[in-house]
Amino acid sequence: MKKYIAIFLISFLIFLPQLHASRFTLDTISASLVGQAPPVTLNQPAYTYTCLYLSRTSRAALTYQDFEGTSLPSNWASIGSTWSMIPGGGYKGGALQGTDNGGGIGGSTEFYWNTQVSFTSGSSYNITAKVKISAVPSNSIVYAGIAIIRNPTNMLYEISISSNNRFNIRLFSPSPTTLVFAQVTITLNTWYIIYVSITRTTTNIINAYLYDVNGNLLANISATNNNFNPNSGFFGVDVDTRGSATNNGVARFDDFLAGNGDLRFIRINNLQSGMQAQIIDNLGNLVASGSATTSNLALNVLSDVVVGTGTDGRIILKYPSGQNCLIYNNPTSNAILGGDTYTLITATMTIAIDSTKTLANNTFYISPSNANITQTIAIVISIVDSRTYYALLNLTSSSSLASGLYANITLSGSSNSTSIVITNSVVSTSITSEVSISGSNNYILISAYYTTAAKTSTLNLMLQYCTVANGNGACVLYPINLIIKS
Amino acid sequence: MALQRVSRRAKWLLAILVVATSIAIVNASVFVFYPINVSLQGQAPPIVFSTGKNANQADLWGNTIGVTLDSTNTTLTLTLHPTWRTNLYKNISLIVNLDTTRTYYIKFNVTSPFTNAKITSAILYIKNLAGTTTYGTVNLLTSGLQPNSWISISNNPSKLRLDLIVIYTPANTDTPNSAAPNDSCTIQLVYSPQNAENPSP
Repeated sequence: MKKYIAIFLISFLIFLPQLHASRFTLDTISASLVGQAPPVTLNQPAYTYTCLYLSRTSRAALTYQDFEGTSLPSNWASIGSTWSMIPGGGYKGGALQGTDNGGGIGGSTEFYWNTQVSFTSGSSYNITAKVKISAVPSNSIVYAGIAIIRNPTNMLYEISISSNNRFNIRLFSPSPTTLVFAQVTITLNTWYIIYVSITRTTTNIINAYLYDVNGNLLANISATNNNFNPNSGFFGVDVDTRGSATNNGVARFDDFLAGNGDLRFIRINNLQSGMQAQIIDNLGNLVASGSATTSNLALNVLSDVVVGTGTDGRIILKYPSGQNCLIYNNPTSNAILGGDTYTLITATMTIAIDSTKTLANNTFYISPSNANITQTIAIVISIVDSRTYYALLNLTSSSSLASGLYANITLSGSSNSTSIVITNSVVSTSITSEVSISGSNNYILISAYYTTAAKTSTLNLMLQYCTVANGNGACVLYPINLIIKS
Repeated sequence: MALQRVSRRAKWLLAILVVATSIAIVNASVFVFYPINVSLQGQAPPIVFSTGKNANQADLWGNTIGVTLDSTNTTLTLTLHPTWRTNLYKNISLIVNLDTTRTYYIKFNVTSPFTNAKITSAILYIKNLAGTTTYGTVNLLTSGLQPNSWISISNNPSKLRLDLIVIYTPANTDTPNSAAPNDSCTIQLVYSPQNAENPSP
């Protein structure tokens, strides 16, 4: 019996530790958190408004023609001559070319907008075109310019440059008479801008200006004449050859514009103080720019009154800091023209940043149509620490996107990150690339529009900044919520 | 007469002595002494801590993510410098299985959790080395053994990664110059070659 008891006790002592105590081993982890003030803070932007849209509120132009394409424009008519389109031969794009055959009024030749314009007392019009003389027969003088034609079409005023280095106002009744001229150097195959205003009172008052294509005034002449007294007339261009040859002078025309307001300027109203504006043509060229000292700004577009090639183009409005506020995309079916007036609509941001500047909410309005793209700084990121951090933005899945939202969200630091991309309310890219941030000029930029009005989306972003590049080291996440309305 | 009283007392004493001696003899007879030899064959620890990729890298404000190990790599000390909102410390330490012959099972016993009310979340994540898979989480605001399920650490791969996410939520009275409060916690890493039961408290 004692023997069995001994075997049991020895077995129990051997196996008991293996069943329990010896199987568990404890190591120790201790974690100490030494709290810090935030080295990165969120701040509201310098300008707490957004640009919603720009709408054209008036147009001075009655007609415009940029002479693009291969066919002569419809609703234009000719008197004499051979008129043709020269694609690629214009100041920008194509041009109209006329070769004098002497078949027009008084031996000249005309091409005109075939819509009668009333010349009642007090009426006033402005007409402008680019013109260049392309060929001059020997021992001859070629005149080329703007024609103000009486109805019926047997008399006209011609405001022209001529190859004998003159800027002229001539009356054709129907034989030509020079009313006034100014001596000015005219270079063959060089574009000039003629700008003329005619006011009908008891007589016809003509003021004519000649500019180079940069808008520098070369000559200014005026004439008062009552040799013809139209009730209505037409606006167009003409070519005339005088001298040994009376035919075959050649001239080209571009950027024809006629209206009843000042066609040299595009006006933008309702701007915030200090805002900047740029007009960009459809070819990407800067046509005009300026800064507003009041709520209204006039931009001189004399050098290209039918902006670009007479289609689309953009108007970019900027905050006084130079950051974009709005991109207005003119539709391809229309042109941006001298004499246009646009009005800007803006809205105020509502920004709430917590007491530690580590959480931000910004509610703001954006464009309700794809013709305008709202661009703004939603949040400024300041690095209080002297070191560089590495940051990115992440759009979280808790965001709610209303239909018709298009948005790009970018983090701007030492460079611009790639963007979070939302296309028609579908997130195609939810995270930006990483950029280094230091100092106080770091921004969350948004470029966005809705396709319709009365929409609201909530974009829940996380700003992540790390002490080491590529998301390494210590990283901190700040919530930034953008409530975007239209 | 007196002699008779002494004799009676002696008889009583003798009787008590006899009884006591008898009881002693009866009890002493049940103790048996057998020899037991316990041999402790000390081993190197099969599960140890190691520094992670971000150990001793830059922390906020020029500080360093402090990760230190004792000489046996069985005690891990973290000193971190978080601020308001969500603080993410990835890959600060590794748990390494040095035993190439067997799988171990680990849990964590939070013996002293963070207690500051402004720490609204403190989670230790146990992940694969790449950080793509989370095997378990430990709430450092709650005492006790976590997670519910054992986390296995096989001999291949033999490393698990520790990430720590701490969320500080400021009060309205805190300012951009206010430091997030200090706090500390202690945790035991519990490991065993079996996962059938939990250790006793």
